[in-house]
Amino acid sequence: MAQVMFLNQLKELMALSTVRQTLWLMGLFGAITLFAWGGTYWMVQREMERTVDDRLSLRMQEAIAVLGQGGSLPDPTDGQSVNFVNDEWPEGFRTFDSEGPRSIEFRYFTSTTPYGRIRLGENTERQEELRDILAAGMQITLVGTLLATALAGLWMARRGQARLGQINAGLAKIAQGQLDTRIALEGRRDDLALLSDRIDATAERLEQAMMQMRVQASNIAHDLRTPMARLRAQIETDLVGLAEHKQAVTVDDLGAALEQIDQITGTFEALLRLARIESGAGREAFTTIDLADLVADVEETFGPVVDEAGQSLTVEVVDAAQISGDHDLLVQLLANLIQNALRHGAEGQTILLGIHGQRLSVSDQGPGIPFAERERVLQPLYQTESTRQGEGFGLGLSLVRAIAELHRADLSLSDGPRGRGLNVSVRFSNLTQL
Amino acid sequence: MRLLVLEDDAKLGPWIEKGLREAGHVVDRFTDGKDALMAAMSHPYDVFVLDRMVPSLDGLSVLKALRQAKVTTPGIFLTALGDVDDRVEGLRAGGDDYLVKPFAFSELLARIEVLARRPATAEEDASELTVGDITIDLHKRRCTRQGQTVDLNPKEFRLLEVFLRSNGRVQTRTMLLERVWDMNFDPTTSVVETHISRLRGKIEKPFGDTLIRTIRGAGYVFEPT
Repeated sequence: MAQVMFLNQLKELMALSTVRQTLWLMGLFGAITLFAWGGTYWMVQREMERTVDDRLSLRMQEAIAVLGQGGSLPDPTDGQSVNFVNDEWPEGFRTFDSEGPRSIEFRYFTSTTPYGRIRLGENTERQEELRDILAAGMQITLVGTLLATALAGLWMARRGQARLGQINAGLAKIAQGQLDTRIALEGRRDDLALLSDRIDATAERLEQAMMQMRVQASNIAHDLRTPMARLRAQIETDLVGLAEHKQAVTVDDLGAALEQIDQITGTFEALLRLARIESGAGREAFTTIDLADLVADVEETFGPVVDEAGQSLTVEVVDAAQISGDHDLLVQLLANLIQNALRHGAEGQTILLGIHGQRLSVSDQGPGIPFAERERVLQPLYQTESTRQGEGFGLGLSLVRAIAELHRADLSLSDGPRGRGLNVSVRFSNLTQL
Repeated sequence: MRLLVLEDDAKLGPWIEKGLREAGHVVDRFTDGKDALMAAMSHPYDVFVLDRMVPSLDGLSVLKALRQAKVTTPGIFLTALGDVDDRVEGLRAGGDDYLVKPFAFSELLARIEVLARRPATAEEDASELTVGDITIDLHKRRCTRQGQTVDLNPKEFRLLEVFLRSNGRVQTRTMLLERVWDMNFDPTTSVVETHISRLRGKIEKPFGDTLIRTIRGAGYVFEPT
């Protein structure tokens, strides 16, 4: 059982990329150490053998010289031997381990001279010690390297893993729908911090989008509930009147019901239109539009409407530019701005519709929109706190925003002339820039 | 006129069929795309009214197949208020008009009659149009009633022209917006109401009678004296 748990822990550990990296590094450093030591050992060994062999050759020459002068074989010093031999050993150098409890290594040089077969020997115990020292050194280096690598690896792994773990935990929360989660990785500004920043930014955008959708959904529900309630009340009244009081349903009763239904479908149609414009569809159908012609057309259509409401529409055209756009949508943009000015402006006011080059603007003399709310009124069906039930901004301004965006035009809301009212301006790009 | 209606909705289908019959048309209604296609290939019709979503073969495919078979009878699509790109797709498939549900019946009827009249009749090409005591000169853009000249601005003139051609049928706001102002959207302001009120001020008030009757929730009817 414990074994299984240990194996599982090991598996988990191996799943961590930092641990795997550490193991790789340990393997690499171990291999380098072994290779370096092996090379050193081999070179030292070869050098020592050569020295011994040189000495043996020199002693052989000396022995031959002494024998040539009629002398006898020189006496061997400590750790050396010199004998006349007569056995099967081949000529040349040979290493030999003595038998016995304590193995001693000897190096022999056998040569046949005019004075007989001579064998010189030398005890190489000292070199063996040197080799042992080398081996011990190698072991210390290897163990040290591996230990140091493992420790450094573990340290880095722990640190990196803690940061990765933080990112991981944050993402897991986001995946579960907690969009207000922010990882906010502290410490060094490294690639992990950058990654975490990106994730945070994504989460923020998602959160905003979700919130906007929620607000929109409730706005839509609100916008539909009013005409639905009216429709229901209307039909119920007619039905009760007909059933209980034999009161005939009039043409007007049915017409009023139809009007409510039209208002409901109108809201849907506007929402779909908004969605379509926001999807960017229709840009390929753009044509060249003269802003002066557009404004003249709009004035002809909406001027009487503004007059009828007891307000007036003044048009001012200076250096009207030609832009690339969709005539129908641009008329709608202006229609919505005029409608907005009519609905939220002051009684008896003058609505100013202006064209200055590529800039188109509509301003009213109403109460305007507080700076803080300007961004929000562009959202679909937004209701300001000051606008009472049912009289929200509807879809008008969000359609304006969507149409402006489709035309890659800059939309800005500001105070009207002399700080009064609301001024909405749309700056189109040059015909050539699109 | 002989009309082919492809509509499988259990309430909407009979409603359309009944309405068109009452308007004096011969109606063959189908609830299945394949049956409708078979009938359309073998009988002469004046207009096809096709729902987009029906069993076996949808309206779009039916009309595509008919156009491939060189059947040029005009077709009008009906579609649920859903995909806004449907309109383009429908017109590309060879449709001549498009109506989004829910729609006013008078609008469907008017659109069918407009389609059936194609290509333009001699009447439409005429330079003068007279209904009752009103005459408009389409070339000189001039309007007279009972011999007196009535000054109309271009939008009022176009509005009157649409009414003169309406044959006593109800004109919905949507239809008027499309035909007079070329607007395919609801401007939410009282554009139609205002211009009609102005037109009335010019062609009704001086003569002390009523030509344009408002039908609440439906639209307007032109009733010449």
